[in-house]
Amino acid sequence: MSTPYISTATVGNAHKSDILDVEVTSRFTVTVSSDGFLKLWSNESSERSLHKEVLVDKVGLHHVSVLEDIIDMKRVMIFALGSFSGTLSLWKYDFDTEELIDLNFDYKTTGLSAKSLFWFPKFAIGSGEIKFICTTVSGRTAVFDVTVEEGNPTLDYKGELYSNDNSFATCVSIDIDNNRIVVGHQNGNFYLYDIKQLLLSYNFESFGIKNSKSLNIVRSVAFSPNGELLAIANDSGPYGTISLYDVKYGEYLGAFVISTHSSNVGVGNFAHSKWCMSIAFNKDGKKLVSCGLDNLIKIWDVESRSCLNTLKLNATDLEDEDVLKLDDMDISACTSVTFVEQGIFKEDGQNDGLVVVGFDRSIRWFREAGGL
Amino acid sequence: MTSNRIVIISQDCLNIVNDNHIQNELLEYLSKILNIIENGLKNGDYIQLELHINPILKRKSVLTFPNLKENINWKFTVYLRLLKFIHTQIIKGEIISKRQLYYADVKLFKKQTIVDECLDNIALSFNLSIEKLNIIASQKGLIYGELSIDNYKISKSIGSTLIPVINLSSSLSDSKIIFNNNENSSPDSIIILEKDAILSGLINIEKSNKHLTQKFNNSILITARGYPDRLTKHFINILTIKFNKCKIYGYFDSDVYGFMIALEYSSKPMNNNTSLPCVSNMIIKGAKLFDNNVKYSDLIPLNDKDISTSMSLLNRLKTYDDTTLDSLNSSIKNLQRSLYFGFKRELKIVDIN
Repeated sequence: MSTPYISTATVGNAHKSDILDVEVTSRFTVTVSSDGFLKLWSNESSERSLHKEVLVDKVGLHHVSVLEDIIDMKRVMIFALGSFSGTLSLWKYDFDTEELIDLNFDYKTTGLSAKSLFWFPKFAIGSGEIKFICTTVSGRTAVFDVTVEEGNPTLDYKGELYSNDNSFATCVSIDIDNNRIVVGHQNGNFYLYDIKQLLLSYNFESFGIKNSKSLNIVRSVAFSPNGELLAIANDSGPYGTISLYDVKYGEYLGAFVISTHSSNVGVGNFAHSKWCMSIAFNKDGKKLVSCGLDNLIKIWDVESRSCLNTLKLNATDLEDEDVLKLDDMDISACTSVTFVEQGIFKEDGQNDGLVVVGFDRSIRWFREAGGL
Repeated sequence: MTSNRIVIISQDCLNIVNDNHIQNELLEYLSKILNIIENGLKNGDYIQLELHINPILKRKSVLTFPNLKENINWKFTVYLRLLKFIHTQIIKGEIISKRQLYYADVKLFKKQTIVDECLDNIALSFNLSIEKLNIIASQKGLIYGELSIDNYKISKSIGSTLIPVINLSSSLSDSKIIFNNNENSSPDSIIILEKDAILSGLINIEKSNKHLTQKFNNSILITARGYPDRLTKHFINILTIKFNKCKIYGYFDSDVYGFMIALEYSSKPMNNNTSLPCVSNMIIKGAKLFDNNVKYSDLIPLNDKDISTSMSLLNRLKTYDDTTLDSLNSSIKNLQRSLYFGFKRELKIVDIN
């Protein structure tokens, strides 16, 4: 069954440059951008007004992960930010003063012996434990235990995930309840590890067109909420493919493909006609959302792997003055998309919401139509 | 009976009263130390060669000969050979290029960079430019246009020419530059290219299009073939001062090396005596990683070195002031996107517009 998605809010010109990652917490929609800013947008206001912003790194941020929890009766919100200079920053939101505070993260205090160029940060909260993971450009992934006292986190280096593959580790997804973590690499390989033992469980090779010139870069990985399925978005030549795997047996289940009636497409079985940059499951795991450089957001039915909905983004829904600020490089390509849990936005009612960011410097919120 | 002999190369050893006496003073001192070293070698003495490369930072390098370490013996020989070369060049009053020096004893020098590095160290220690040692950098840059510098003519009819040797301490007033054989004419643009492949491609197109309007009729095209050398930079600098009204464009690859080469022109100080870059008003055009004309087949995956070089360049850029960063905005964006996607792109002739 497919229901259309309708736009609930749009913020144009939200950053001065490409917005590369978005995450939704209970109170804020969090964005990071190439302009180096971390911005918190208030979920309560229907215009999604800017709540707080801070310049973290002049040379730009590309990924953010938020740790949000109540620890020792205290609300905690910590941001891990990956910068283009290969450094990692930790910031916290102080609920009393409503300020963003730099935690001056130094890898030396964690027990990590050598400096690495960090890339993709990720927090994961399990029952009674918090993990922090960060990939590096040299293919190793550092694993930390996190303890939070008085709202301040302490990172304790546990070890690294490494499979003799020095290819740039581009993305991770963690299923902490089942002790699983998957790491995607630039060369198209992705590895499933046991996060407790730091041991390799499975290694996978990507599907799609392969030749020496085109790497099958893994762009995004996601475990389904129940931990049984694993979705992988990777390049296949100029196209973007999404494949589904069974986690328990490491089996390939199939690909998410757009139905085509034309005989000249279909070789690569692709999901997006350009690279697919981001994928995410919804809370019950029945739907998957993907977005790509083809300016499309696609919502898929996981069971049948068919496309339920396609949203086309273009700059026409932005205010004219915001469009004027864009330059010729700023197409509406989407870099990050995620489902929003029910209850975060009042206007979404019992429906799934979506938030997407991209090169046109805008943040767009959507919700499933009907059934309010 | 062996003894220790210490030879010091430092600016303090020269008693420079005015510029005219530099070479005499240098010749005298070089004769003296070469004498000491040669006599020392005959005696079998230990010879300690001290290069006071940076007296303020107290950076010096000390080589003792003979030494148990083979590498140090070799380095000492390299310095001795170079000092002798400089000595002879000054006596003869002739100028020699670094490249020629290297070919004079390939077996000893092994690599051109060794010659360059050691010469730089000697020049730095004396606090003199290498030209004062009668040595010039080899000509590397190419130029295409109708131009004459003093009596040296650069003509489009013969294709691209090597950038003429001019004194690196000279200024605009020292040479007479004429564009298109007309004292009052000025080019519309000066176009700086990263590679000579693009330059020769453009020249070929222009030559095959004889009857059409020529795109670069009123332009000067220059390439330093990769990282610019001092001569090319100095030459471009003089040209831009002379033709101060014309626009300067730079075309570089859409990767970290293209960006670093662009910075060599637009932001890095030209030499030790100035904080000014070669062309501060250069408009960086270059290849864009993504625009409508880019085909997938043009994209090249980044390798490990590209990634770490990009990140360390970005780290260095943090120290730049905001105005400079603003002017580099589109190049930085390109580099960020190239890292984000894991791809780079080389400049193509179609990108030149």
